[in-house]
Amino acid sequence: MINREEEILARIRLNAVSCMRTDWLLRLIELYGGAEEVLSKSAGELSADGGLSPETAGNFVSNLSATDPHKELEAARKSGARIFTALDGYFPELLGKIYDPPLALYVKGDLALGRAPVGIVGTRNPTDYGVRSAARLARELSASGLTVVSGLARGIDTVAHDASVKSGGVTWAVLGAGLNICYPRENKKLAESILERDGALVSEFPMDAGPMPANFPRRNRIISGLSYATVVIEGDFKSGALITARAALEQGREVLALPGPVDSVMSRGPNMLIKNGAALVEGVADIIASLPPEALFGLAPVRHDRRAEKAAAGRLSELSPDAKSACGAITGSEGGLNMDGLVHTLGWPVQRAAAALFELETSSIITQSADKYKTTV
Amino acid sequence: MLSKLHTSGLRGIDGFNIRVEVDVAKGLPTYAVVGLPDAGIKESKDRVVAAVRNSGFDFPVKKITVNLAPAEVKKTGTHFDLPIALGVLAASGKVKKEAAARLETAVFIGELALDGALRPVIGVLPMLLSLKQSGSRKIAIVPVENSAEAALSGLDCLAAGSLKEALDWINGAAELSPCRPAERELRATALGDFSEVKNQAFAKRALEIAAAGSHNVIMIGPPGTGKSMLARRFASILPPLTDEEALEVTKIYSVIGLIKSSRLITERPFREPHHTISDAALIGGGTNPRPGEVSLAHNGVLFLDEFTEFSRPAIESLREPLESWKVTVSRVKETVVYPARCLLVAAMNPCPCGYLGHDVRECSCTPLQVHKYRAKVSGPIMDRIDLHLQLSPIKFADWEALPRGETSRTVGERVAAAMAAQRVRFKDSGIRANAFMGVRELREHCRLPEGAAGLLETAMNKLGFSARSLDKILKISRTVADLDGSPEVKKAHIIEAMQYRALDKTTELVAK
Repeated sequence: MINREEEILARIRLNAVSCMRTDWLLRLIELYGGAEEVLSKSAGELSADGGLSPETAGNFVSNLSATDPHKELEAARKSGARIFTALDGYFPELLGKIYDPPLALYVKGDLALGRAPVGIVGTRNPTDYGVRSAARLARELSASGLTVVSGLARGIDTVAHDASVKSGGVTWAVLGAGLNICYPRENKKLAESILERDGALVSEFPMDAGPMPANFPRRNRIISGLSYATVVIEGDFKSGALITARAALEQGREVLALPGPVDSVMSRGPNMLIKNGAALVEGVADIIASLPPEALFGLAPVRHDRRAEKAAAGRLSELSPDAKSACGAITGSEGGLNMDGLVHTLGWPVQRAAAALFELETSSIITQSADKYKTTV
Repeated sequence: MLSKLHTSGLRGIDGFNIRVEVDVAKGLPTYAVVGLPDAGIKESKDRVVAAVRNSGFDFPVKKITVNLAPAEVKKTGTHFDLPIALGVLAASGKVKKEAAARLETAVFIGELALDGALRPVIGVLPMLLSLKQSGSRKIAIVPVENSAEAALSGLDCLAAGSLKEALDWINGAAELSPCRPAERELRATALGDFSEVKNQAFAKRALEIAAAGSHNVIMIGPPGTGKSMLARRFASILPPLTDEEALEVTKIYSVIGLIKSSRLITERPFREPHHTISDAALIGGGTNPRPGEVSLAHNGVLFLDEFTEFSRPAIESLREPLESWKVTVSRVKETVVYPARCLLVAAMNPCPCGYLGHDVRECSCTPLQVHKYRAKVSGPIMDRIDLHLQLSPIKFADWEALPRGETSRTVGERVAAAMAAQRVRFKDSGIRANAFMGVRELREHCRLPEGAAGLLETAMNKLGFSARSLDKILKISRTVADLDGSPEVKKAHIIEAMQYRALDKTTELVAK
């Protein structure tokens, strides 16, 4: 009879060993009947009946000695994260079903607040079209109450998380580094706002692990593993987005792709997926149609963020008359207005328009992108 | 026999006195010029010989030595022809004894044609101005075609058409006509008027602020948004050059021979060098140093279109002129300082393809490319640019319906009033305009109004302005207040000023 607590600690410890593939670790645990048992074996025993080469076994045992589960738990506690293993009831069910689920999952935030997770992945160098589409899909998914899963990387990932957060949705970011490391650094604020909006940051790597290149393909299988379906926005043939798509297929999950111009390098990946049978995505309806019925169970047709709505309504009613008319002009315009547009529409001098814009911008009702002001609510 | 005459030399944009000594002695016929002459002066020998002969004199077949004193300074220019030729004639007895005193009272400047006629030379104005400043009461003899320019110096000048005429004047055989300045032209409007720019009220307002406070501007926008059109009309809202400024500008143009019809330059210079320009051509330099585009834009506007396409060394070389309004060109033998107090108007596309943020056209750049493109302009340069201006194209429907805007004259009057307010404020402090205020002046002249501290805090927290950009915002708000005729900076001024620091905002999470 194995001691549950000790077994969890042993799994956290095994998980922290970076030199070994997860499926091998899982095989060893199965072979010896528990993670604790694996820890008690010597390099010789592991290579004799575990089928490891003597070299790998030696490496593994020496790396093991450097890991300390208590330290990991302490580090997680300090930064407000929790560590789950397959022995917990809290381990995400979908992820547990894949071939090689992580032995331990570090989570900041509450995964229970997410519904029907869908992965959105894509290149770090998206085109305008990719950015626009990713933002639109993420927004629509959020509005329908689904959870957007992505990897917090530059490009499409950032856009998907950002659009989801801004439309009040729940989004999960799966990191390729430990939860104590923010990579890329410019997304620190985004990570914070994800948590503020009931989202979660997820990683299988020890708290202080750096963003090693080898981490990212492993991270990708968790993105697809957490999700019912994965949508590929843009990416060339050899891109992380396609690795995620392959992982999703291996895990028996749905893969969808956004079609793109045939002369766009960034659309070669998704177009190839469509040719090979992936579902074509135009809008959120295509994504929802591909989800299994149980994913949609209990899901309200549209999830209203009443708190945010109320706050926004409150902010709007407190505005000065000038700011209200400016806000009206911007909302009524197609694709936002710049200062000139505002000056022209309202017939105001620049100074008056500036005051109204400042008021709107500091109350987060509008935001500036290039020279245009757009509403955020 | 020996003769001595006066002439002048150029160092940078200033003249200095040069003595030409010619000795004609018995001996083997030789001709030597000493006193660090450059190749141009050594070549003068053949011109001098031919001009003397073709003026009806014999060229002495003797040992001739020409010395240019002070001997340790390098000399360049073709204007030594006239004094050398006159020196040779005087030393060979062609000047009457009683007229010899007249040689002492004059300064001779001019290049000779082979037939003895005088050709115009460059740098007449700076040479004569320096002479005048040094308190000289001499009379300047200059080529006819330089006469109007020479007259600007205020020195007594006479125009000579040929070597013979100059010699006759020395001998008292004929008089030369005094130089008169050309009539002032009405202000040139070749670059257009502000009212021709439709819409773009925001951009025009920004340029008005830039003009009033001498703030440098960068305009960012897709092709066809009127960046160049606005920049070309920018000089038209600046007040006309003062007499002192006009002389400074004309001096610089004289040095490189760019004065048109010898007139005083009264319109603000507008220089628009192409982006393939070298750093030396932009800020000045060369083996024989010449002023660069920044100096040619002195007291005017330097417009750098496609700013990011300029070479990195060229962009970086702007640091000194933008900081200290002069350019120092150092060579082994000499150091030359050119004034370069110009307003920089830079223009660039928002991204490599140019269409980021465009309403209709699609941008094909990745965020990384955009980032790299913008990073071409380094921090220290961006730091010297106060106003950021983002432009987008206007739609045809709008364009047709739009009324004409204010004329340059109306805007220029406000600008002039704001400038006058600054002159009073910065009296005796050595600062010329708001843009040049340091931390101390900022504290003194931009006291925060009631409630503005909270405003700035909100701006920092919500819009992501840094402490550094707040300083810039205060500087700009001072100019906005001046345009408003307000002695204090008010909240509304600060809020408007924030509109011109768009690139400092960090509210955008997504790279695009």
